Amino acid sequence: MILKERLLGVGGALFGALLLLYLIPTFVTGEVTESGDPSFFPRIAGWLFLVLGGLQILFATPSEETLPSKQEMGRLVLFVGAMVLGTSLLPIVGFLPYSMGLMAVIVLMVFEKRPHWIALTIVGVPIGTWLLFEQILQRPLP
Amino acid sequence: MFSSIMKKASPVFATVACALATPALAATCPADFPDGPIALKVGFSAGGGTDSVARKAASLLQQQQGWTVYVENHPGASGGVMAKGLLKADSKGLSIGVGSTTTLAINPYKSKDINYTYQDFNYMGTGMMLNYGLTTKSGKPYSNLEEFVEYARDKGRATVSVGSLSYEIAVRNIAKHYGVRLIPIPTKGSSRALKDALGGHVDATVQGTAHVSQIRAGKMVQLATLTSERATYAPETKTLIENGLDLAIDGHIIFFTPKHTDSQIQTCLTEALAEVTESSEYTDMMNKLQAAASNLGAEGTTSYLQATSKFYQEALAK
Amino acid sequence: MFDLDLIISGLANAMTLTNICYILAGVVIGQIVGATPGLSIIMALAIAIPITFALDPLTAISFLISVNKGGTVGGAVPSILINVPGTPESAATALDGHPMAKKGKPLKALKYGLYYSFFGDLSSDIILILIAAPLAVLALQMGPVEILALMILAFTVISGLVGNSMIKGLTAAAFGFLLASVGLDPATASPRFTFGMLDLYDGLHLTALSIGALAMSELLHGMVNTRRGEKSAASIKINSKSKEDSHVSWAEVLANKFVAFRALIIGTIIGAIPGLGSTTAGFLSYSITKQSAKDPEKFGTGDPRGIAATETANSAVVGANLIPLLTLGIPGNIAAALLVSALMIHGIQPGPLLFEEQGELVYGMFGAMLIANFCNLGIAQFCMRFWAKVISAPKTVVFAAALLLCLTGAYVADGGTFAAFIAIIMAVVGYLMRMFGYSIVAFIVAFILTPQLEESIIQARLITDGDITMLVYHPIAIALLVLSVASVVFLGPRGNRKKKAKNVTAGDEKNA
Repeated sequence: MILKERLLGVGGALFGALLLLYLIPTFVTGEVTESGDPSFFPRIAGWLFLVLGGLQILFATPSEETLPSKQEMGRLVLFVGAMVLGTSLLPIVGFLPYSMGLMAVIVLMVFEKRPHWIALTIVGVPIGTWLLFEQILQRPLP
Repeated sequence: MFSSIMKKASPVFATVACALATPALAATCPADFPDGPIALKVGFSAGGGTDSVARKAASLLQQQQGWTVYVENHPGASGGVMAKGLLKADSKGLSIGVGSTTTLAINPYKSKDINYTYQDFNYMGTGMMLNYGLTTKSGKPYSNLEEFVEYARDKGRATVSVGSLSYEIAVRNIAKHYGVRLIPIPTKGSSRALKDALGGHVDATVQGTAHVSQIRAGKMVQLATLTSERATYAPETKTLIENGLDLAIDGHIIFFTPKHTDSQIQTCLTEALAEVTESSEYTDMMNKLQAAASNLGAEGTTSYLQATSKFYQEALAK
Repeated sequence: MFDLDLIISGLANAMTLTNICYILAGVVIGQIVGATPGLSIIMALAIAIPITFALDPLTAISFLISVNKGGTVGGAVPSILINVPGTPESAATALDGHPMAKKGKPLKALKYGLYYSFFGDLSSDIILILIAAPLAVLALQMGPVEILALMILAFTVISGLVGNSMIKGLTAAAFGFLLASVGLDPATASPRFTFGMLDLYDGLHLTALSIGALAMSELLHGMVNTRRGEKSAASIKINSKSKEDSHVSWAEVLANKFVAFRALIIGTIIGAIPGLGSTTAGFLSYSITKQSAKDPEKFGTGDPRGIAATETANSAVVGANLIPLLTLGIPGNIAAALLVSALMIHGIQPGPLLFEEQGELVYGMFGAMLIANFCNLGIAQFCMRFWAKVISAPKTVVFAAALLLCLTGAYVADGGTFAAFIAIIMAVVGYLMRMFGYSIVAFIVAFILTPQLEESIIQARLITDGDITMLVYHPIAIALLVLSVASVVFLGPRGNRKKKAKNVTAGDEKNA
């Protein structure tokens, strides 16, 4: 898997270059004053990415990590998609529908089949969380 | 959604407090006000002076008016995050902002991402005046502003730790007036600025509240008072104005609502706040903290902010 | 200087029934909040403050301190049991605590954590009570130049934790540097990478970031890897039948006394200096312990020394943090700042006169701290069984519930849906970093330490007027810099030699 490691190095170096050439000049706009240079630390990060990326290309060693299968990546995308979609709807639909929906998606995706555990996760967990925050901790949820 | 660390006083405590409080209700409020719990939205994180004052005010509003009042902290950009969010509140007056002079008079001129000015809000009044002072550790070869300036001139430079931008502006103004090199050392928060001064790592510091107990303990000396009048805890120390410098930095903790808030409710809230700041419990707390429980009132606050905004707009334009 | 009457009456005040009830309640609340992923001690304290309005000052402070102490003990629980650190400081506990739990010894790991945490907290409280004043003087000696040297030392020592590949570990740290620079820069207060969003002005919130990168990424990993048909078992097997695997004997605790003692010193010193915090102490102590061990490769596989080093150090910070607060009136961290708020609401201004004007209160508080430590120990013993029960539910339920708590916690703690999105993004980033072998620990530690480092660099440059020869006036800084060189020379290579071949580090790479 040495190719993967080298590709990571290429990615790192490209990101470093992007930081130094575009992101820092565009988004770090403070002027250099006698108090210091606002872009000092971002530039350190940029150079580190660039140099370390280069070293990674040259000295990559095989790693133990195995890349996940297509199926796993698909599942990751689904989980994240569910969270992002749910969280964007949170202010509109309110906390309980949001959390019940999210729990339902997750339970479905981790192949839980036993009805009592499904019920506990979809109904019990959201209500428990709601009680915890809203009633015990007194923090209003949407 | 506009929300962050939120808290209501415990319902148990609220009930007890309501039962004990004599229904004062001196403030003239619309009959249906408030139609829900009132949020005091503090523009700073929990633990600071603004937060403490807001919490005290919340508990007193609750006792005196019988309203349910809770405090939410929305820290970020010196109250800018809170103020920007507050503009979105409706006209029912259930969201009250608690910020500082920096929130309203400095932020709008410092950052292009801040799209409000002090004119976008109504003011209920102020809760506390901060004791801005230029102070140093005792035992230094200088004990007033003239001597400090001389020291800086001899040494070529002197360092002053500052916990916020308004303090930095004050230091730069003093340096310019006397033509000496005073170097503001930017520090995250006034308490760390205080630590560096007590450790002798800097030559002086500008402080708002925490130095008062140090001065009483004899650990620090006030070189100059930065407010327009002399401070009660350092009656010997001259203000900048007395030193011949046309500069006074008054800092207040300010209570405000969006401009579009119903005008009857505005009156009601202003009166309710006045009742809080006049109560003996409130003034006791302020006295113990050696702070002034000054309430400039609705109009006073507006004209104060008008003048202060003008000052900072010019100072930051340079 | 010790007024015996005052001390006795103070301690007696702490022993009232009301007070002890509040201490117990505080400890229970703290432990539960600490053990719940997504909830932080700071949040618990902020919630507890309004409750204390109605109490007298001593009860109020005792209650808040108990919440804080309970939270420190509780924080280790999810790290050990499901490798989901609720707070960054317990991420170091997970390094060895979770592997031990996975070997079927979760109760043993929890007990190790608890005993060392108790030791660290109690000892640092005693240090606070006995020698707060000299330690405060030491803390005052640490100006910007000295702090800068200390940060350099911390970075060199902690770089021992970068993981299997030095290059990737440093890349992860660079990412931490970059994300830490989001927000207003400390020198000129101009925005960096804020993209016009005011929510980013104060930077990425640590709570949302660490919940996402540390806890939620682990949960995602667990959920993504669940396979169809795999009978979803409990996430941890509990082998409670074997006494050996669920108990910790005195001999086992005492076996790590040197590790714990060193961790106590590290935690106390870091705690006494305002602004450094328990995460730094925990990782620093873990790193030193690992690198100075004869067998560093054992760390990360469930070594009790790893738990001893982190839990003692991060708990010692809790007591030591009050040193600058009580002697100088300077809060050392956010928890201490919240105590200031609570004191001020009761009209008490912490400062150099606190002992003189409020001696009885201060000694009452000391009494309460000691009582709280013992309550903590007792209640945790009891709670442990409860956590073990919770964790015996199928991991589908545990993971789903933990994920919801994390999202809600981020939402409530720092700025609504914005913070929840930050947590989700960081969860994905953390997942990818894990997948490609980049150290999340290196990333988080760099993120936490960078703001302090950057501020110190700016301040040190201004104070010395950019003149490096001014260093001669800062002997402590020179000593710390020498120590960091020494740590590279003595700790680094020795550790490398003993590492297995797969643990490639910079030193080996030169030969490769």
